[in-house]
Amino acid sequence: MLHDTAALWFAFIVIGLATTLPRSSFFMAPKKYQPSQHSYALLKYAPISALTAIIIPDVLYVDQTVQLLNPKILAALCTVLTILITRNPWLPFIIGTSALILLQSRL
Amino acid sequence: MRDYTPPAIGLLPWATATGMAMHGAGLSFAESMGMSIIVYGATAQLGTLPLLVSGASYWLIFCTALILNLRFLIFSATLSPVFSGTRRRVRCLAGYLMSDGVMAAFSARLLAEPDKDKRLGLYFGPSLMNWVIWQLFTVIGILAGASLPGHWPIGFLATISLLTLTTPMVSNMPMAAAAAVTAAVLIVLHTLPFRLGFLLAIIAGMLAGYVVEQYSRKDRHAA
Repeated sequence: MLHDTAALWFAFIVIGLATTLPRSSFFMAPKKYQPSQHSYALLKYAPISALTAIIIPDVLYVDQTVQLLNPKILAALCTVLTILITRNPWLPFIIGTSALILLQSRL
Repeated sequence: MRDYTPPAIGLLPWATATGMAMHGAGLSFAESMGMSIIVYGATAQLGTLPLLVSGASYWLIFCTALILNLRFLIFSATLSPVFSGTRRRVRCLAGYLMSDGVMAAFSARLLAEPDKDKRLGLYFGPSLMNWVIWQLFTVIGILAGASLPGHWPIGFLATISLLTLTTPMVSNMPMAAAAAVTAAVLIVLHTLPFRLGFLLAIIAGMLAGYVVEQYSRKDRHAA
């Protein structure tokens, strides 16, 4: 898809729609349509689930195969620890990337 | 405006990293900016990058972006009284500009403000500032990404951005359950075709969070 410019721009529009539609949904909808208590409770867990599902393959796959112990997982753990310890917004990026570079050159 | 400075600062590394990640994924400057302006959503952009790189189908890209953006349904429902009685165009623009930062910093004041014009100013002022800062630091990120040596793991910045978002989310049992179940189902089902495992894992995670929440509520009532 990256080599087909038209397909890529079409994908941007698809992603843009999937972003702007939920954002405008209840601004545009008639007043009587409001989400129920149960759907609120379910929707709350959508972001964490979707993000986990994106992160896991990112850190588990090395050259298309699953590796449970690899530099990316260890660097991700360093990143999580940094996030838990400090509130500085830049440090996770600095420490995570440094950890990955170090680990990749060692292993 | 001054009240919006702290959330805006949190935006800077995010925008920079997103710019670098788009460059790292192989997008040109124009394509990266196009994506940034059309989509204008960090999670949707970062989350769909791996799918664009692997050439996933449009429906999977759409579904993934939609799931990543489901939280905006809640924001939209919460803020809908703020825009009652405004033009359609205004509400459309308000939707496009919606951001986590403005929502977190201003939703209470927005809902409490009785004057319509002040309300709109209170929403659009910080929201436009958010947009400009976002695009500006995306540009910086793309340029910085282009100047880094090729062997640097730029793609990992996207993972780090997503980790900075998810780690604070896992603050209670239902959230932890949702994350753990998603990860477990994903690993078990990773051989299924068409990324079915991916969508099933997300659905399983959402249900797990919901079920654990219901159970912990019952426990509290029983105690």
